[in-house]
Parts: sequence; structure tokens; C-alpha cells
Amino acid sequence: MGQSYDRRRIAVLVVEDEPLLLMDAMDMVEDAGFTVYGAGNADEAIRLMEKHHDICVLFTDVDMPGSMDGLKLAHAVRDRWPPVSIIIASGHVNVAHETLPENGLFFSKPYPPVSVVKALDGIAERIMQ
Amino acid sequence: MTTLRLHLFTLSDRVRFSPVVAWGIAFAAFACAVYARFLFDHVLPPGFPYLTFFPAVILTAFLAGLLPGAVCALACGIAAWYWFIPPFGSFSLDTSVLVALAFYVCVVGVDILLIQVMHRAVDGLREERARSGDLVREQRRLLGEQKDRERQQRILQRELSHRMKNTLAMVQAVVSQSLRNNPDPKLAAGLASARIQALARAQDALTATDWSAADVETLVRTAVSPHDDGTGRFRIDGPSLSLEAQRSLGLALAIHELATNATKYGALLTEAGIVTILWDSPDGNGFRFSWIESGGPGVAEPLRRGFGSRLTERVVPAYFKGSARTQYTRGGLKYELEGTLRPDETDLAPD
Repeated sequence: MGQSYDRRRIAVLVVEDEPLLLMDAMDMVEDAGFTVYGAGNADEAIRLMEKHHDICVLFTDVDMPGSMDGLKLAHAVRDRWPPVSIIIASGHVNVAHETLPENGLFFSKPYPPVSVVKALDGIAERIMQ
Repeated sequence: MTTLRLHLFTLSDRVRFSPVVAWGIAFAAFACAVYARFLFDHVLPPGFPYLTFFPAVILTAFLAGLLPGAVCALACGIAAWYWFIPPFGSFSLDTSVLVALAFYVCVVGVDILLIQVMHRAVDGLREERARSGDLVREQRRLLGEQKDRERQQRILQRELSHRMKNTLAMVQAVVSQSLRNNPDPKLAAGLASARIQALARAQDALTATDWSAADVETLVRTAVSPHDDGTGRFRIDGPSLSLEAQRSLGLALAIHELATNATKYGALLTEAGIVTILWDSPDGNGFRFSWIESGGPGVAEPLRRGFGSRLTERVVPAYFKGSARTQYTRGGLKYELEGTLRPDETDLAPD
């Protein structure tokens, strides 16, 4: 499939309240060649969404403290920035499919990095077409 | 219809347990019966001396109970004998009078007996019903308790499963970070394994509280135990503080990195080197932690930032929504972390 496009033009926002997991997920996205932003909670994520218009993908954990959990954040982003693709990860396997935003992807934690990167590639290709 | 019948019995209960009303009814029934008997005396054919007395006795026995019923029956019997059994106006006693009185005694006796039996039966039924009601309520309560217990157990299981997955995700991050920062897979595997062991020891410090929190001192002592040769190389001092599970794991990883580093290059490399570990909680929700090496070889600032220093300088402070500072001094390394003990609570506090 080759990299006919510049992945750095695609920015991914990683939201995870666990600092170690956030760093590792950001490294994973960065290593795959994408631009990456990280947030430790939903409010910070919304602020980053407002500031950086190059964000094409939201990759968020579900269980987070604060005013909004990952699912609420995903729906809020879907409402305000409809083109942004959404990937959701959770340690709870029973996140019902109907609670995900439309076209949202779900990964159960701990997720295989290769699969997440593949999903990001798929999204990037769709955007670049 | 059932309600009406039950009302009658309730009424009878109320009367039976109030002596004034009970005896009042007995007297009134007797008086009414005598009056009615006199009233209808001229229209009745001869041979009905007790006609109005039977209802009076039955009513009294039913409403007022056994004793007023019996007394009313006796009074009625005497009244009937005196006024309405010939020869009228006297207590004469011949065979026919005796037979008539005997019949009267039999009839009212059977009436009172049947009424008593009926009352007992109704009382019994009511007690039975109250008992079954109690049983049903008790059963409902037990069922509710069991459901509560099951629900709590399900919550706990979900919570444990969630914690387990989170820990596994941390292990995955530790492994991938160890590999990412070391080109030699053998070395990376060794580092990853040591870090996973540090996480495992931190889990031990958490077991006392269902894996929800750990005491800082227990956590610190468990974390440095593999590097402690028992010769007093560690000076550990701080107040008793409870640290939430994820922050405990984070701090344990930081201590592991610092201790490994001190063993390789710092205070624990020399015989005289000492590590002082201090912590406290200013204002109740603040958290300060310091790792101060002394008596070791002078440590130079490393050229390359590996996972260890990223962990101590950026990742672990983030668990406490704070910051950390590492200084490389002549006696060894000095690491200071400052943040909050329960950042989530400050998140929720109103602005």
C-alpha cells in the first residue's frame, strides 16, 4: 500500500487519564508517522480540538475522571466536529456498540498497537483520497 | 361482602376489649329484649316465652364476649321464667317449667359455644395471616439483601477486572517503552522484566486494601527492598498517607528507576552512599516526594533521555498533576516531585 501521502498532515488526539499509557499511545502514533497531541482528560481534549484544526482522529479511553468520560467526549466531538474519525478504547469489554458514535471504532484494552496503527492508516487513506 | 364480615369482627374485637361497652351492650340487649317481649306479649300466641331473648343473647355473646353473653343469658332466662312462663309473675317450678328452662339453657348454651368457636377460629386465621405477612416481608427482605450482595459482588468483579486490564495495559506500555529505547533486545528484555517486577511489588503493597490504595511508606519500602542490602543505605521518613492505586503504581515505577540508576551510577554504587527518601502532604491534598542521594560518586547529567528519565520527570509527575526536578550534584542525584495527592477531587471542586 505504500505511503503516497504525508502522514504528518494527519494529526491524532490521544486522550487517556493514565499518564504512562498516554505517553506510550502518543509514542505509538508518533512512531507511525502521524502528528500527535495528548490530553489527560476530556476538558483538555476539547481545548486542544478548538486550538488545532489539523486533528482528524480522536483516540480516547472511556474511563476517565472529570466532567466527561470518553464516550461523552466522543459524542461531543462527533457533534461539534463531524468529520473527525473516532477510535475508542476501554478496559471494560461491554461497551455497547450502540453507545459508540456512528462509524466509531472500538478497541478493548490492552489493545494490539499494530491493529490501532492499521486503523489509523485506513482513516488516513480515506481522508487523503 | 368479605370486608363487611371482617368489619363486624373488628367491631366485636373492639367491644370485647372494652369492659364498659361490653357490659353496657349486655344490659341494653337485656332491657330491649324485656321491653320488646312485653310490647308484643298481647299479639304472640302462648308458648313463646324466650322469643325476643334469643337474639339478645346471641348479639351480646357475639359482640361483648363470653362472660357478658352468659350473664345476659342468665338474666334473660330469669326474666322469661318470672314474667312469661305461666304461672306469670312467679318462679314456680314444675316438670313442664323445668323442661322449658332446660331447653332454654341448651339453646343459649349451644349459641354461645358456637359463637366462641367462631371467634377463636377468626382469631386463629388472623394470627396466621399476620404470621404469613411477616414471613413474606422477611423473605422479601432476605431476597433484597441477597440481590444487593450479588450486585456488590458484580461491581467488585467488574472493578477488579478493570484494574487487572489497566495493570496489563501498564505492563504492555512498560514493555514497549523498554524495547523502544533500547536497540539491544536482550538488554530491553532485562529492563522490562525488572520494571514488571517493580509493578508486581507495588501490587503487594496494594493488597491490604482490595487493590484500591497503598500506604506510601509500605510502597516505598517494598519498592527499594531489592536494592536494600540491610546496612542502612536507605533513610525513609514521612507521614502515613494513603495513595490511590494508579498513583501508587506510578510512584513505584519512579522509585524503581531511581534505585536502579543509583545502583548503576549513584549513591548505591559506593559503600558509603546513602539515599534519603522523604515525603509529606502540605495542606492535606498536596504531595511532596524527594529522593536525595549523598556520599556517592558525583553524577553527571545523562546525555540521552531514556524511558527512566521520561518516567521520573514527565510521566510520574502527571499522576499527581504536578512537576518534578532532577538535579545532579556532587554527592549524587536529587529528585523532587511536587503535586497533589488526589487530583481528581480538585478537578471536581467548583472554580
